[in-house]
Amino acid sequence: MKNKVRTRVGRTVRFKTILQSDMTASNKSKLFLKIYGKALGHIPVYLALIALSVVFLVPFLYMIGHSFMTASDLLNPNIKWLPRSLNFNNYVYAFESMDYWYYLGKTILVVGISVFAQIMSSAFVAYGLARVKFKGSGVIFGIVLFMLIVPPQTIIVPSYILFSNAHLVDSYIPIVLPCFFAMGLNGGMIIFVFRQFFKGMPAELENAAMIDGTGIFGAYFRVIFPNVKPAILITGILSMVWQWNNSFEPSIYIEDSSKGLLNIQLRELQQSVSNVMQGVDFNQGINMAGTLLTILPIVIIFLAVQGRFMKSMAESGLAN
Amino acid sequence: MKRRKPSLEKRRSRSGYIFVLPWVIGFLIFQLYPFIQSFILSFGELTDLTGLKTRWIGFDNYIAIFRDDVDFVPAFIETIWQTLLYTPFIIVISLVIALLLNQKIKGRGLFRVIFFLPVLLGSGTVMAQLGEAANIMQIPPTIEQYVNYYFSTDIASFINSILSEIVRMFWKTGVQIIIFLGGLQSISDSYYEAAKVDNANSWDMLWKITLPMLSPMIYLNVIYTLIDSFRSEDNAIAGLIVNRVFDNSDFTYGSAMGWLYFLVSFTVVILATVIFRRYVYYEK
Repeated sequence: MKNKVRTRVGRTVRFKTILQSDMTASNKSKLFLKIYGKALGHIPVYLALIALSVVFLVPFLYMIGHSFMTASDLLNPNIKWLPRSLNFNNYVYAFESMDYWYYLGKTILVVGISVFAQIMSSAFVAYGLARVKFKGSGVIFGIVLFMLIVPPQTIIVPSYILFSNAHLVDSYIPIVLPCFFAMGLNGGMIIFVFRQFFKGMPAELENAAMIDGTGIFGAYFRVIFPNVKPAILITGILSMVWQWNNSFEPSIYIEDSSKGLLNIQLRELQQSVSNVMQGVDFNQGINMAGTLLTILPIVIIFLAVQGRFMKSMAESGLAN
Repeated sequence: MKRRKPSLEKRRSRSGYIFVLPWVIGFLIFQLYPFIQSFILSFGELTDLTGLKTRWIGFDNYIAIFRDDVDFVPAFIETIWQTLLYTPFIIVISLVIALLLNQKIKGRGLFRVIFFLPVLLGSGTVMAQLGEAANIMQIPPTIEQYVNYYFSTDIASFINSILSEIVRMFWKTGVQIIIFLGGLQSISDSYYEAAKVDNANSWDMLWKITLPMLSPMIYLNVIYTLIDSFRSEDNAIAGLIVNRVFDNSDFTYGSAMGWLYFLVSFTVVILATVIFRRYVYYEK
């Protein structure tokens, strides 16, 4: 047991090999190990994490680096990551060409309404499924899960014809409207997450709210729904990210690209400026700047709430 | 203890129906109707677009998919194969990352954010365009150069293609890592304390405590990964269906493709459910 150092998390780290390589190890170095062993044991963990982070960060760094590159930078074989100078022309071009403020506002509005509607309706339905006993609740939850397996491509044709006959094509109504009925993008997953949270909620909370004399709906809105903030945060972030990046439904319902959201503008920008010669895209810098502008808002929102988000995910007990 | 009157019980169960009412309405209009309609469409030939009137032609659409369409079978096989191949790797990679992140080290908050970044843009236009236009979901160019330098052309391109596949897998692990982390943190320390008294090493503890306790999350993650992959808009078959339906305006043919795709992905998910359910360990 002497050559083992225990860490707080219960991992046992062996230092046998280190000790063997230094057979004349004095008491001093043993003491050193005892004191710093825990930190030393973390070195492989750090190395592994840093190596893995590189895989995730490289595309971002590449994107940021290239967003500042001029055409001559892109052509220069000596320039791989860092542009020679910090020039914001790509951003200015992308900004104007995408009509950024207008489409950003529109995107925030559409995504905001969808996320709000999806969360309110899904939580409401999930509460009924999790805490109210009634005939058929099991069947309904089964259908919710079943519909998750149905790929959107399978039902897109009749959906398109449905909305097309209602003259709602070229608007975001086909995408926003289902959100009010606990549907929408990955709606089943949001019901699933809320159901897990409601199931894990102590019954006392519910009873206390009911004893006050309010009916079950009053209790739900006043006490129960405000008490699942972690679930609201998790589903809110996921729903926002999905809706923000969603391009499948818009690519079908939106025929006039000027009626699309920010990601449609990005696609238009990329198609209009793409100028590939001899394997080099001269306007790649503009593409990268436009891409960064498109994702920047959700990255900022995520970074602002990430601490609470990670904590909520950890407490979620999603698989119990 | 308060005794509940049956009328209250009844009223409560009636309120259950009100809770699920929004979903029922949405399901009938936005899911069930299109689902059945596309099934009917897949056996017909469109005679009137606005009324969705079709003429019954039996399995002709399905036969044409396999007999005449040169793109369908390869795209189909690619999608299924990729899903089956990626899923186990994604599970293992996200489990390893979650185990690393669960160590009590400084700065793990930062690492968690980094590993979640792909979720923020891991789908949709942004990533699809980036993957296509800039090829940035690839291995770092320096590594590629080293591989090209040390190996012959065939082997180098093989290694590079494997490496870039691995990178693509990494980019699909965000949600799974977080689900695993939540699971790891819910395992009580007392199990590990008890194991340490019995002189267990960390390898034993991983196999005898951590993995069995995590099995519900592994199960959930397998199903999530499969569904996520089948629903993904950037897989080969999804692109093909959209192309056939909306670029060629062939609604009935596209519906048949959609239904074939549904049947196969459904079978895979159900099989996975049946297989993995048996290995899930639930704490009593």
